[in-house]
Amino acid sequence: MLELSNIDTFYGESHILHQVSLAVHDKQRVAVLGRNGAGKSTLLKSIMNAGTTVKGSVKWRGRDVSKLKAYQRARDGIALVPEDRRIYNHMTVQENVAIARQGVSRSVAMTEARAILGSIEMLSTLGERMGGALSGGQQQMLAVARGLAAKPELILLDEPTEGLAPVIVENMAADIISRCDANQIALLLCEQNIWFARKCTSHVYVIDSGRIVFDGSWEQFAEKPEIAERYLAV
Amino acid sequence: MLLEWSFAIFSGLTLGMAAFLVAAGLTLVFGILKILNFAHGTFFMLGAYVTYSILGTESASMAAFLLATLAAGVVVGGAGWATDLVIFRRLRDSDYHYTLIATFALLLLITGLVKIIWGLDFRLVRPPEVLETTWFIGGIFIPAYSVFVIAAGIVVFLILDFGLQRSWIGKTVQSVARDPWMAEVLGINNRVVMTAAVVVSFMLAGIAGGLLLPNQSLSPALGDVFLLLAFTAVIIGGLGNVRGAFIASILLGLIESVSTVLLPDLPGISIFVALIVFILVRPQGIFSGAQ
Ligand SMILES: Nc1ncnc2c1ncn2[C@@H]1O[C@H](COP(=O)(O)OP(=O)(O)OP(=O)(O)O)[C@@H](O)[C@H]1O
Ligand SMILES: [Mg+2]
Repeated sequence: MLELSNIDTFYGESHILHQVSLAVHDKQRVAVLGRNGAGKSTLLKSIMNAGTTVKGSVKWRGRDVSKLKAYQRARDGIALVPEDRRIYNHMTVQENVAIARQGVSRSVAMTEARAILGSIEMLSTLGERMGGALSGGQQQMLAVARGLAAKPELILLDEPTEGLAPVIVENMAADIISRCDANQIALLLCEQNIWFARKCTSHVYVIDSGRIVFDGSWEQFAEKPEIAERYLAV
Repeated sequence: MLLEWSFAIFSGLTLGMAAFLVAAGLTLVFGILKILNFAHGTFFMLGAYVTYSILGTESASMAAFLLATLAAGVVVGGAGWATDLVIFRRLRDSDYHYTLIATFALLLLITGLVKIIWGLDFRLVRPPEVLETTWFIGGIFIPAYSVFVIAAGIVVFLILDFGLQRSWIGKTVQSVARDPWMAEVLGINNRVVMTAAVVVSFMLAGIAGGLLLPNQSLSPALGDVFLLLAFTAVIIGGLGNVRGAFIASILLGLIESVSTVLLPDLPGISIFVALIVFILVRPQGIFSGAQ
């Protein structure tokens, strides 16, 4: 459903992604691994057309969407959960979730937001709290909840486990899998936590210095320990 | 002495509210687009001229006055839409030097147009009949028109504040102001929100021009008085912050009129002193950030 063919991405003059090709099929869950600065976030921003200049073809549900702006892609079923959370301080937790829901009335959006928050243990009692009054981990969960609230067909998660306690990461993996399955959402997950990525996805890409250096199943990934050794070890 | 002070406070409030009427649109557009519109005052003046063209110089009925003011708001709002389309939209991601130059050029252009259309003559427009009275309360003369200006300032503030803080549209607008990148990623069409903000800001300028037209000498220099106060209020209030601009406008109005009592030989200097002191002590403004 998402197909990038040979894209090059720039921030102004700096050329960050080089000839990246990647595909996510219907309901498929895919991971992108890479070191700090490898280009993971840039890849997700390129898919969203948010703050990057992209050359090459981006196809979404069979259609070339290169000309679509970020907000149009969001309304077209792609949700991005950014690594830096970007929760709004001036709104309550519930409003932060509701604002992601486009195309319905505000009261419907608020009702849906309440339901989503109710289903997330860490946030279930915090709906009326201001966004800025949450801990880092709670904000991270909220960012994911907000992504789900958009009812996307594809969710792009950028290092969602960052700053979360191990036990919560474990629960989160199960949670993400069940939600994606239940709502038929495809997932593109950027991670440095290999365990978490493996648990959540069936296919893996490795990116390094803006180039895709591995593309295969987790079994194939396991057969080539030198990939992890070379591109992921710190 | 007491009477002199009460009068100073009353006229300070009037001046402050007049300044707020001008400052409101200025701070709104800065809060959302991060563009300091140097031409804001000329659009205020344009609003005054449009109102004058509809009403003439004689006292009109209150209804006619309010309608003409509203019409000025619509005309200037339309000018705002055009300005956004032609200028602001191109400046969204540019350096502030460019926005200063562009809005300054716009200021010259609109002032020139106004001179061509309406000439350089001074005109005096009388307030609507009901506002021509003066009340004598507690020993001081209170012009009904001043009470009207104060009320108008409060009403505009309440509408804006409620609109931005409580309504869903206002919260969405604030989201765009605070983090446009995230807003766009969440599916909000920033361009529409920003254009709407510009139109509302210009409408406010036009309406302020109409409301403050009576008792001013209408000329292309109209607004210079309020403009200095308004810019100062926007800076002191925290760029982009409507509440801050409101409080700062009142403070500045009071400082200005009280200082004419205390320092009658140094007119106008107190505002600059206030600005300098404020910038030294609290450069981010009373409230920082858009609100
Ligand atoms: N706004 C920007 N302007 C210029 N260069 C940028 C910008 N953002 C990122 N870069 C550069 O692009 C490269 C890729 O950055 P990116 O944020 O995509 O890495 P990442 O894989 O997400 O890293 P991390 O794991 O630390 O989040 C880095 O070299 C970074 O310095
Ligand atoms: Mg990153």
